[in-house]
Parts: sequence; C-alpha cells; structure tokens
Amino acid sequence: MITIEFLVYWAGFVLAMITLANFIAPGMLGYKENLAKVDTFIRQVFCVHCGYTVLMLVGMILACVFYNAELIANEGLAKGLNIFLAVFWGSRVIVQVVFYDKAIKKKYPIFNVMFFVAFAYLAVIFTFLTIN
Amino acid sequence: MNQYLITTIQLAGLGQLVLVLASVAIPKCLQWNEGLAGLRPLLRQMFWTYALYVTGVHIFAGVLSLFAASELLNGSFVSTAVCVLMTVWWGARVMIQFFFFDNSDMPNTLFNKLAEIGLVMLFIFLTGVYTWAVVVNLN
Repeated sequence: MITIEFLVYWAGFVLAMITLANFIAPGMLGYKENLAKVDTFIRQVFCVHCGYTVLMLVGMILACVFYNAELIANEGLAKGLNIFLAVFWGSRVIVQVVFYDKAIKKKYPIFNVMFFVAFAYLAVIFTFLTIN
Repeated sequence: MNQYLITTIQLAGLGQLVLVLASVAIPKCLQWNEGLAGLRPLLRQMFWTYALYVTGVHIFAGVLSLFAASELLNGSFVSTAVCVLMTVWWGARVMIQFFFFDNSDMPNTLFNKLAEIGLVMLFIFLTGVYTWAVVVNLN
C-alpha cells in the first residue's frame, strides 16, 4: 500500500535526481563556453547561485529522508518548511512552463517533460502536507 | 541567556529581510542586465531563477528567525538542522566573499565599496548567530 511516508521518501528520491541533473546540465548546455563570454564577476555569481541551489536541494533531500515524520506531522517549524517547499516547487512549475526558453524545451522534449513532472510532484506533495 | 539569543536571532531575521530588500538594487548596481547580455537565453533565465530562489531562502530564514526565534531554539532535530543549514549557508558565503569572488570587474563606486563592507559584516554576524543557536540546541 502506498503511504504518505512513502510519498515523502519518494520526494527525496526525486530531489536527488534533480540534484544529479545539476551536475549533468553544465556539460549538456555548454555552461563553460557560454560563461566564457561574460565578465568574471557575473560568471562567479552564476557559479555561486548554482552551488547554493545544490545546497538547498541537499537540505531538502535530508529533510524528506530524516524528518519524514516531522514533515508529515506538519507542526511548528515543519509547517513553515512545508509552506516554503510548496511555494518553492509550485513557482518552479510556473517558471518551467512560462519563463524558460522554448527553443531549448523543444530541443530536449523528454527532459522538459521529466522536469515538469518532477516539479509538479514536489509541488503537489508539499502542498498536500501543508494543508493536510 | 536564551532570551538574549532569541532577540539576537530576531535581529538576524531582520537583517536577512533587509538584505532581501537590498537585493532588489543589486542587479542595477552591478549591471547584471548588461553583463548577462552575452549569455544564451536559457542560461540567462537560469541565472535569474537561481537568484530568485536564493532570495527565497533568505525570505524563509528571515521570516522564521523574526517570528519563530524560540522555535529555532527548542532543541528538536528540525530546529537544530535548520540552524546547521543556515550556519553552513552564511559561513560559506563569508568564505566565497574572501576566497572566490574577484571584485575587479565590479563597478568601482563608493556606494559599492560601502555596501560590500556592510554585507560582509552581516554575513559574519549571521554565521555567528546561527552557530550559537546550533550550540544551544545541542546542549
């Protein structure tokens, strides 16, 4: 039987896959060649933001795996965390659909669908935890 | 001692929310739009998305610290973890400022120099506050 505990653990797995994608994307999308065209400072800010995004994702994975019960209980700090994660992934779905470059999404349609499904799953799970 | 730390955490929360407000001016001060013009659209969009998410974490940590400071010190696994995360977050930011950023490309204005000093002081303060909170949670 699929339990809410399992679904939150699964969210941790989805987050791990997104984290992994952050290590594959630089080669696939030619970060190095593209970033060579901009000022050092912009390049460094981009790298720092990438690093912090991975740190955020690792924090979320650890929360799903080790604070599974607390997230489901949705009390105190965990409630705040659930609200934040629901907003974070809900907005990520909108960014994927509305903001990101259509040409790239057409070039990699499978990745586009996979990311959309992953972001939507996370948005639904954390919204459910927030309102449950 | 805890009441003193609670007030300090609330100040840290306020500091992070002020940082969020200041972040609105950063793209203009550092001429991000001009700097990003050479990038292909997807990377430019990712740059803005990542920047917004980092700001989102600052809002989350700021609100939590300002309005739920005592919750951050309740000694639970979650509160300790959040404080550890924020210690790593701001500690890394201090290291990045000193050992990674090359500011020679930054527009050389008095405002930018003063802003940098203010930011570094804030990052050090935030690292100290959350480290202190971790220590209190672990005791």
